[in-house]
Amino acid sequence: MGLLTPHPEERRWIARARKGDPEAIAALYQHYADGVYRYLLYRVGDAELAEDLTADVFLKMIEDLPRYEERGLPFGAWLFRIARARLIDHWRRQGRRPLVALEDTETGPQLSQDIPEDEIAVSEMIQRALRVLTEEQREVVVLRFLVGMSLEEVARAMGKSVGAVKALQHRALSALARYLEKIR
Amino acid sequence: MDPKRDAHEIEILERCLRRLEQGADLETLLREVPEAVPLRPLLETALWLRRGQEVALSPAARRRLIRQGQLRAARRAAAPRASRPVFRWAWALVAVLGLILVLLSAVGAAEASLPGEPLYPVKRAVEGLVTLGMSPEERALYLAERRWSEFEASAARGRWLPDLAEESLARLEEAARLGAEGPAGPAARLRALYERQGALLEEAAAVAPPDVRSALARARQRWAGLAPVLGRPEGGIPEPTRSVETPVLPEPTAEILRERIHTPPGLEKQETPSAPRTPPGQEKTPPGQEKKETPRPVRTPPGQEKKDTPGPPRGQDSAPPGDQGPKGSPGR
Repeated sequence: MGLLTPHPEERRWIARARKGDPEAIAALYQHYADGVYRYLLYRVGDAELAEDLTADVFLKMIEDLPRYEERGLPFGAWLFRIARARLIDHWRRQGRRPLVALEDTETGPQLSQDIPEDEIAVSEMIQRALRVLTEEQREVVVLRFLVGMSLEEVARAMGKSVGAVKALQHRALSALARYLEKIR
Repeated sequence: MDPKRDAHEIEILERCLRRLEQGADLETLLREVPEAVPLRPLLETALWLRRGQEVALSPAARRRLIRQGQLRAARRAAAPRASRPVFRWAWALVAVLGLILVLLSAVGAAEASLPGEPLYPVKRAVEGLVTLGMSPEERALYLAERRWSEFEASAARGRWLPDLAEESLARLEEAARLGAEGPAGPAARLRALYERQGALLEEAAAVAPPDVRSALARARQRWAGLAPVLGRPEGGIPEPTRSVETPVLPEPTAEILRERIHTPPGLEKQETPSAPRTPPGQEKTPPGQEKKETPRPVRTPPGQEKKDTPGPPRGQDSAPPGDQGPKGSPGR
């Protein structure tokens, strides 16, 4: 399920979550936590860090929930904005680029021990492959193919035109295809 | 690279990606869209990437995060209401209103203050702001009235402040000069203030302490000098009550006075047979006439100022008692 796909019960959950209803809060987490986590995992390449950042994003969501309706955004898009802001904040604090260069890492990305082995294999391969992309190409690929946003949602999230995102997507898939061809 | 061909390829790629998203099979798709065949590696890569969507939080991590969120929400709900944004705004509003109230009270209290009192500078500062939007004439008259009210109030408490009188007179003079051709409203106010000033200055000459009498006498001279501009007060310009310290100057001749004081038409006959009272300082008599026409009055002995006040001047001998000009009393 994509990050931005709303649940039919979502509005009721939000209203109850504002009042601190634990069940509504759990429902919002269940619906959106995986999308946020995936986005963060593929952007930072560290499962443990991605978990911590996901926790931060949802705590910020709880803090800001009273102001949510004023923004006029779908809840998923609003949550994604928080996630992106949290990620940029993390990079700023670290004072380094989003992902370390391929040649700088010998051990590959760190993955949580809770994740099943086959998932680790896919996730690890994808994260390695993503390193051949430019920053913008990587953002497009993560949002479109790993988080599951539509082309239009990606364009809105990145503040770019749909045409520009299409071009970035084409170049990114070409680069990844060449990389996969080379390692096979 | 051919940009046209690239743009076409980008469009076909997007169309095929949407079909795959909707659940189309890659082989079927490539059969249906033969021009997408060269894009096969890109479409296969997109399908491979989609496997990354299977990655999810572990159940343990998910439970941990949910618990954390629920605790935070519970703490928020239990937090004192005043810490919520709406209440913080309410407190800020109350604080601002309180500050405004304090400021307004200070301004209100300052309004009654007199020179030398702690809030008097506040009064003058507010006055500066209030008069910003006024015309120069209106401003001068407003300030003249205010200074005179202060002079009256301080006189009522036994403090005679000649500086206030001087400032009021200077402002009145300014207002009269600026409003020479002005409307009737300000003219009436000018006239009213002028008469108030005359009444109190006359009284001041008798009751003010000796150390300020000469300064007040100067103020009265200045006041009398405004007669040509503002017209004579009702009952003529009163003779200042003589006291020990009041400087005594020779009475001017009727001719000189006619030249200097504007006399309203119709009043000349009543006032001209003998010299009217003239304010001190205006008594400029041509040389050689002083002794003959204006005998020098005798100084009033100390303590007998009221009793021994010289009688009305020749020009007012026949005037009724109530026609001796306005007699103000301080604090009225």
